[in-house]
Amino acid sequence: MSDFITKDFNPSSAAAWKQKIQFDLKGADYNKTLLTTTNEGITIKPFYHLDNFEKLKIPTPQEDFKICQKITISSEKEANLKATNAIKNGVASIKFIVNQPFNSKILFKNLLNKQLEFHFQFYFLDETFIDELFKLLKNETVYYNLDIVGNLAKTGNWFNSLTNDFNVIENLLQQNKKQFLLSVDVNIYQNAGANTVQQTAYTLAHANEYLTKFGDDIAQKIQFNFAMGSNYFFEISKIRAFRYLYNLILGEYNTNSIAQIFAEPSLRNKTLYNAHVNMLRTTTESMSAILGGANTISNCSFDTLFHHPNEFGEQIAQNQLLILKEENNFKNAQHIVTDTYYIETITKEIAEKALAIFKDIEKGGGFLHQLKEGTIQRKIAENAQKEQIKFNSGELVLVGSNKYLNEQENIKNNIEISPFIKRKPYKTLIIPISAKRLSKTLEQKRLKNET
Amino acid sequence: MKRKDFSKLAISTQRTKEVNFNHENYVAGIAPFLRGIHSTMYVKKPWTIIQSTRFSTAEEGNTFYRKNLTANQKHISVVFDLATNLGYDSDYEHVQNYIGKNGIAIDSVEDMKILFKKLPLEQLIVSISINKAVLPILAFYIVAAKEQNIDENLLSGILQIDELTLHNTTMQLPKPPMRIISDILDYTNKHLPKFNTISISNYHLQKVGILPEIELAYTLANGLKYLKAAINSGVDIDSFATKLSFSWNIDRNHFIEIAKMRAARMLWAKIVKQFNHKNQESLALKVHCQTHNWSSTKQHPFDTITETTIKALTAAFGGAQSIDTNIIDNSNELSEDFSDRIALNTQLFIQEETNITNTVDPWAGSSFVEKQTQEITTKTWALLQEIEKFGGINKAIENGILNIQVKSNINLSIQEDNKLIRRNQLNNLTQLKASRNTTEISEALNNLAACSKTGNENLLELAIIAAKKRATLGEISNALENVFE
Repeated sequence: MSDFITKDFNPSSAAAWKQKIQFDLKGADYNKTLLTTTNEGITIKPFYHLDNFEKLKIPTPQEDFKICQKITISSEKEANLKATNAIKNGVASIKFIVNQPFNSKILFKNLLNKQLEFHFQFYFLDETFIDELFKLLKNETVYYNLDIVGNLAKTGNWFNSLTNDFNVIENLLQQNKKQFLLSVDVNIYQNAGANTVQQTAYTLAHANEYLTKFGDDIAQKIQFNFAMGSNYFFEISKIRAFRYLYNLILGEYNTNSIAQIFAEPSLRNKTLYNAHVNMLRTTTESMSAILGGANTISNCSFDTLFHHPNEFGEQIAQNQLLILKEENNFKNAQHIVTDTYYIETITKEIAEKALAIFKDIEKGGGFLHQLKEGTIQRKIAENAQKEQIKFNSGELVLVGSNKYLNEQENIKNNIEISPFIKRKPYKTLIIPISAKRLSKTLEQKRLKNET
Repeated sequence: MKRKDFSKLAISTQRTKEVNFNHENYVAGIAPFLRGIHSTMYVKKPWTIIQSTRFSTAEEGNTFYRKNLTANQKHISVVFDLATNLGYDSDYEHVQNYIGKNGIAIDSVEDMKILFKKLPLEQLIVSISINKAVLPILAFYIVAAKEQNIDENLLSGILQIDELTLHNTTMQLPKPPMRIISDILDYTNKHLPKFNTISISNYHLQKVGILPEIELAYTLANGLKYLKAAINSGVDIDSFATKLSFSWNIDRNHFIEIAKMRAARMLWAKIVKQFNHKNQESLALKVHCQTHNWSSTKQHPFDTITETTIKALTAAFGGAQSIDTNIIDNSNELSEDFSDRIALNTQLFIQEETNITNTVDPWAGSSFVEKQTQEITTKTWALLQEIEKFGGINKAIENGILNIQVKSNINLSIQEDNKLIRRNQLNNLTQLKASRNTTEISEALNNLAACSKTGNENLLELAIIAAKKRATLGEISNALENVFE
C-alpha cells in the first residue's frame, strides 16, 4: 500500500489497544467482562494482534475438498441409483454404509473408472468379502475405513477378538499395499462429548495403536473421520492442530504425512424441535471443515435424527456443499486461514494441550490400555457432563431447543424413527463410548407433554 | 513394535508471518478503524438483529412488531408502498395499482399511529426507508410518538434516504434535495439526538461481475457528496458525519466482502479526516448489512437459507453494526411465518452457537484477507481520486469513469389483489378529511408552501405542524413541490 493511509494515521500496539479498551470499559473489569474460558482450558482474548503472533507450520493438502454423499445400502440397485444421481449433481465422492456383504457388481455398475472416490463404513469385519472388493476396486481411489479400535470403543467389543481382529487387518494389509485401509473414527469421541483438545489427543493416541502394531508403513493408509460442531474457529483449529501433531509423532517413526481427513457434521448439537436450525448448523460446520482443510466432506440432512433418509433433506444437505463449492472464496480455501492471528493462536494452544494428553496416555500404557481401564471413557464423560450442565442452565444455547422456543411446535406426528429407543444391554469387554445429544432429555420431556 | 517414547516431544512455533502488510497494526476503536469501530466490537455487544418484513397495512405491521419484539429484538424496519414513497395519497387515481404493494400504505398520521400503536418507541431502533416523501413520513413518525406521550428526543433510529433505490422502477424520481436533508439534519440535531439521519445504500447496484473497488468507490463517493453538501449548507461536520451510515447488500465472495468492509472503514476515515472534524467518532464508518438474494428465482427455496447463513456470517466478520436477514422466497414455497422464523434464527444461531463473537475481527492476519484488504483499499483510493478530478460521482458516471449499472427493474413480487387495502385506505381518508379543521389545514399547508419558496423556516418543523393538524401525505408533498423543482 502506498502511504496515503499510513501518513494520516498512526498504528496501535497491542498494549495501546488494550489501554483503549480499558478506557472504554469505564471501570468494568477487563478479565471478567472480556475473557472467555473454554472447557478445553483455553482462554479466548478479546483481540489478537501481530505483536503476539505465533504459529505452527501446518502440513496442508494442495487439492481442493471433495463433496461426499453418504448412502446406506439397503438394496444394491437403489444405492447405485442414488450414487449415480449424486454424481450427476456434482458430487465426487460416495460413502457406502454397509451392514452386510453386498453384490458389488450391481452396486458399482457404471461407477468405475470415473475418477470418483469411494468410502466404506462396515459394521462387520469379513476378510474374504473385503479381499474380493480389493480386486474389483483395485484401480479406484478407495477408503475402506476399517477401524477395529474404534469399533471396540464404540461397541465395547472387538468384532471377533483382539487377536483375530488384528490378524484380519494384518492379512488385508498384505493384500493391499496401495489404498487407505484403516481409519480412526474420531467422530465417536466428538459425538460422545469430547472437547477439541481431547478429540485431537485421542485421535493421535488411537492412531498410534496402529502405528505401534503395523509400523510406519501404515501412516499413509489411515483416514481420519472427524465430526464437526458449530464452534466455528475451534473446529477449524482442531483439524489443523491434529495435522501438525500427526506429523510430529510420525517424525519418531522417521516418516511424514499430510493426514487424510474426512469431515461431517456432528449429531451432538442437532435437535428435534426447530429442526430447521440444524440446516444453519450444518452450513457453518461445513464451512469450518473446508477452512480447516478437510479432504473430503459429507453433510447430513437436517431431519436425519427423526426421518428416514429422504430426497428432500438430502438434497438440501448436498446443495449446501455445492453452494459452498461455487462460492469463489471457498474453492481451494485451505490456505485462507494461514497467518490469521486468532486461528494460529488457538491451533497452537489446542496442539500444546493435546500433545500433553497424548504423552500422558502413552505414559499410561497407550490408548487401548486406557480404554480397557475406562480412563478415556471417564474423561469424555466428564467433559460431556460439563457441557450438559451449561446446556441445562442455558449458558450453552441451542437455538429453538433451550432458548427461543417455538412453543406451538408439535413434533409427535412428524417422527418416523425415534431417537430415544434404548438398546438392550449386552455384555461388553469395556465400557462403550456412546453418542450423547445435548438436547435429548429436554426433548423427551417436551414430547411427553405434547397434547 | 515396541512402543515409542514420546516424552521428549515438543511443538515448535515460529513468530513470523509469511507476508506482512503495512496496515496490519491498525486496530478497532481507534481511527482508521480497520478492525471495527468499537474497541471491543461484538465481545461486549453483538450486532443488532434487524427483521424487516413487508406488510401492506399498518395493522399487519403493528401485529408483527408486537409479536416479535423481545428482549433481544429491539429493532424494527419499516418499508412503505410505492404510492407512499412517491408522495401520493391512496385516493390518487394513478397509483391505485401500487397501494399496499411491497410495503405499507401511509396516508396520514393516523396510519402511522396504528403502525406504532402500543410500541415502546423510546426503547426501539426504528429504521425507516423512504425516498421523496421523507418529510411527511418523518413528521408523521414524530407526531405519532408525541401523541403517544413519547418524548421526541428519546426516539432513535435510522432514516434511510436512498437516492437511487427507486430508480429501480421505471419512474424516475427526484431525490430529496439537499435543502430538505439539511433541514432534517438541523431539526434532528436539536430534537432527535439519537437519530441517525441518513444512510447511503448500494442496494440498487447491479452487482453481478462488478469489482469490489468500483462498488466501494461508488458508495464512498456518494457519502463524500453528502458530506460536502452538508458542509456547504452550513451543517457542522461532526454533527453530520456521526449521523451518516451506510447500508450494504452482502454478496457472494465471502472473504472479499469481509476485506471490502475493512478497507471501507480505513478509506472513510481518510475521507472524513480532510474536513475539520473534532470528534473521532466522525471518522467511524457505520454499516448496516442485508443479505437479500436477488437472483434466487430458480433456486430451491432452502438454498436461500444456506446462502443467507453464509452472508450473515460475512457481514458479522466484516464488522457490521446491524444485519437484516430477511429471506425473500420468490418461489413462494415457504410460509411467511416460517421465513420470518428461520431468518431470525439464522442470526440468533450465529450469535449464540458459533462463538464467533468472542474476539474482535477474527480474520485479521489471514494472508488472503489482508492482501485483499490492501488491494481493495489501494484500488478504491485511486478511483476516488479520479472521481474527484471529474468533479464528483455524478460527473464521473456520466464520463464513464465507473462502469456501473443500476438495476432496471424492481421486483414487484406481491401480486395479490389490493382491492381490500385500497377500500380501507380510501374510507379512512374520507373520514379523516371530513373531521378536520379546514382553516387550520390550509394555513399549515400555506406556510409550508411559502417556506419551500423562501427557505425562511425549517421545513420539517412546519411539516410536523401540518401533520398534527391531520394534513395528508399527498397534501404535504404537494405543498413542497417548489423544493423539488
